Amino acid sequence: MSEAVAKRPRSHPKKDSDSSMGKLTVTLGAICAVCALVLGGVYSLTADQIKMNQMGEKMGAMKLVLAADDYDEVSYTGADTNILSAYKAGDAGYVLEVNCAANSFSGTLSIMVGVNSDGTVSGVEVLESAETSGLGAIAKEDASWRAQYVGKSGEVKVDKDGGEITSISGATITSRGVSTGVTAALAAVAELN
Amino acid sequence: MNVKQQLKEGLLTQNPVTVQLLGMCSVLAITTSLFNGIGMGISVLVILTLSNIFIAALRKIIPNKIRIACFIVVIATFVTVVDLFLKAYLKELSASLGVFIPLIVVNCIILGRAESFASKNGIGASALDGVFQGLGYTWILVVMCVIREFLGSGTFGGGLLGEGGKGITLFPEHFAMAGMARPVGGFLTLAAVIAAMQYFLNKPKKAEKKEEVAK
Repeated sequence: MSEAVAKRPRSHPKKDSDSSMGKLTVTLGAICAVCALVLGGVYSLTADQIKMNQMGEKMGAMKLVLAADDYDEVSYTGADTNILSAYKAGDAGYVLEVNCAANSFSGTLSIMVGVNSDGTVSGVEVLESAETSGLGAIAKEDASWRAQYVGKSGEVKVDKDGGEITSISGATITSRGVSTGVTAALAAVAELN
Repeated sequence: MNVKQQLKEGLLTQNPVTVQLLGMCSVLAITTSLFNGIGMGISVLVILTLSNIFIAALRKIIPNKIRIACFIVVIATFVTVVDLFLKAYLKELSASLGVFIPLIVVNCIILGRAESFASKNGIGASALDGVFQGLGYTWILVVMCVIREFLGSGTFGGGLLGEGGKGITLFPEHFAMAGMARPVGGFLTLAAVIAAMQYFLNKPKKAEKKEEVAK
């Protein structure tokens, strides 16, 4: 603040000492600094555990869709931006993480698809989903519904679109979203091979 | 203000949900299973108590002009701390509460209590206020969860009890009203709970009036 401004006579008398700009800034700054320290501490305390949880979840899903001893991440360079990551599961085939958000009902849907070396689906798991509970959420909860995808190849479609997948009643959009994701994974694996 | 009165205000006469009507968004959204209700309730209770304690401790340091900014910084810090701990050690709860934990920052209950209580009272009284208001929030959540879970999916204790945490089945799921687990069920249940609460809160007053008339 320039001196000219500081020396300007006040139009009203200063009411209490705490209203000066300097003190306001210092107080808020001090509170923010302490809070930032606390947050930094807690973050470094929990960061490893959080990362492990996320990794564990992904690994669990990978083991479920296509069992293998280890998974090597391979780079997918194709045009489909919905393929989030791809892993080679030894000789058994590939495991792909596919983002189906664009075709989901609520805007968050990602799946893990296992593809056998012969180009058929070995398993599907839903990783993240915000679909309606009781309808679209069944895709994540009901393993027997996802089992329909096992053995499918080429273009996978729901029954309403002339395919073989029985869609979840009341959640055709979610079913279609998962099917599109599976189709994308199959196409990506064809490119990888 | 004594402890008994504070407890009564938190749980009944000034209940944050049914009387002050604060923090409605999370109440409507997460009350679908008992696990969610208890988890959210306890998270709010912890954050509310901690932020009340700190705001009461800092109430003489915090300048009046920037008090809201200071409150929000303190509240946001505790919310983030709780969010990180849940993500690290209770990931199921963190996943099912989703965005509603970070959104506690803007939950009116916390800021409301900071402004109306903690900034004017001592640390001890503010801590108690946080606990009691938090309990008031939690018990309404639990009641709503039980009602919505029972009518919506025919179970009790979803996420906590039963096989695979699906809850104890009280009647087959195909008899359940799926709508009760949706937002519409949240509105209906909340309205019913508030109405019931108001009925019972106003009952003694009516009895008093009758006595007066009789006299």
